[in-house]
Amino acid sequence: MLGKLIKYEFKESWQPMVIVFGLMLAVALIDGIAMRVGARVEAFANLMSVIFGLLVVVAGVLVIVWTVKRFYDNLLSDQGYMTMALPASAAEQVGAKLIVNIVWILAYVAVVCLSTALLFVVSGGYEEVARQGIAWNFQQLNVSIAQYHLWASFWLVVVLTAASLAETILTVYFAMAVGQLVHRHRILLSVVMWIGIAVVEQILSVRMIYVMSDNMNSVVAAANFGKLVGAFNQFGLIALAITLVLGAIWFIATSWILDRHLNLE
Amino acid sequence: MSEILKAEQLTKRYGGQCALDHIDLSLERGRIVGLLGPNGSGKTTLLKIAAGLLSQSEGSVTIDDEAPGKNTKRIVSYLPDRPVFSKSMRVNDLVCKLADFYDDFDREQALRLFSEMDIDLNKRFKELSKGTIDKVQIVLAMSRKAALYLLDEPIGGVDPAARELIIKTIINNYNPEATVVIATHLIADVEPVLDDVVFLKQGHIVLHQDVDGLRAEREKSVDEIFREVFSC
Repeated sequence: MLGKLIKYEFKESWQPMVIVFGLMLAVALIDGIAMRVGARVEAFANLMSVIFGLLVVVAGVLVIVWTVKRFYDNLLSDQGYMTMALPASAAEQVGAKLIVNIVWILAYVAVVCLSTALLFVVSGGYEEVARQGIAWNFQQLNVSIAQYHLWASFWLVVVLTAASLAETILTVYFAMAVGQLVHRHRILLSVVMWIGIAVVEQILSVRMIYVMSDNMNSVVAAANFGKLVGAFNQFGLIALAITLVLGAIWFIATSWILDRHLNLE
Repeated sequence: MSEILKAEQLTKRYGGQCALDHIDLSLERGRIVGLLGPNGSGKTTLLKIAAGLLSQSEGSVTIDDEAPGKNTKRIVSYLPDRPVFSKSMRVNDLVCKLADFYDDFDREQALRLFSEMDIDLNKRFKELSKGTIDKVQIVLAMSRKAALYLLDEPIGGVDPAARELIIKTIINNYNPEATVVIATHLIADVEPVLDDVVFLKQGHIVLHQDVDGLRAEREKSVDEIFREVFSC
């Protein structure tokens, strides 16, 4: 059932995403060509750069707004009469929405990177960088990565970012699930609940960083880069564990509310 | 014969307002039941709780001996009282989706009914009139071989000719072993097809009886009895 829910979630949400992502790539390509042409079309190139920047922002906002809107419209408003009548558990419904949201956010990040790279290459920026010998520094970087096992740190950061993303989305879902429990002012309660969660999480993370930084100070003082990387990885693993636990709590709580206390009024 | 739907002391409050007040109800299999009452009597609330879309404040409800949930949704076909689809969806998208999710969805039957009603499967919901959307919803609900059909105001917003067509669609296409609950305040239109009636007044069940027995006992039509019960 989860697979079917994911399939239809993609089917019903791909259009605005693909249109905006396609526009970003197209504008990056046109901007790159205009930059390469040079002074003759400078004003046009500048205009395209501004449009590209705006598109990056608009696409980011779209992905976030879509995340919230799809969940609310599809599960908690009139469309919920059909969606929540499907023979699927609330956990499957929440899981499908979460997976598809994460995919769209990752797709957004990939398209931003791809379009920036496209702009960089087509405009001739890469050739310029290569000509100045910066490529050599990448080789040096590879040596350092191998020496200090930095790939482990890199993947830890990637996994931690993805987990934080999922946890943040789940706080939004949880806030909306709580909001629908009341008869009136549902959206207001959802917003207040989410802000409350965000504030508490922020205070706790700042406190945690403060405690951990005390430990880091002694490592930094030792001036040993290997130990510093080790301490960073340890810090990352603790943060990952906390993020996963919090994510699991929001997921279970949201599913439980939608299973036992759904209120499609 | 065991009951398909059973409610015990079922209560639902919206803020301080009581929509259902400790009702007890038992519906047998294979019956067409009219859930009758004026607007605001609690009909929609009862159906939504049974469909698993609304949680009760007190009491319990079971469908085929199970609390509303994933398993009961497999055997309940629910028709809401409003359009519940994204307006950009095509009729055919919805047919495919329901066929994918419900094992008991009869796609051939749905396509035949759409063809009989002259409904274009490629039209988007935003291109359809309210009456046509109502017809689409009733076709989709009745194209399942469900054990319990919960139909909320199936003829509420359509003209008399369309009402007749919708009632005919319900009667000709439901699973004969199933129970059909029709919630409405348009008694005269549904009276000929009902086996039982449940009168709901301000969240209380004031009458639950078989239609033939009721008519014989009171020597009046259900519509006349309804007007008596709900007269101010």
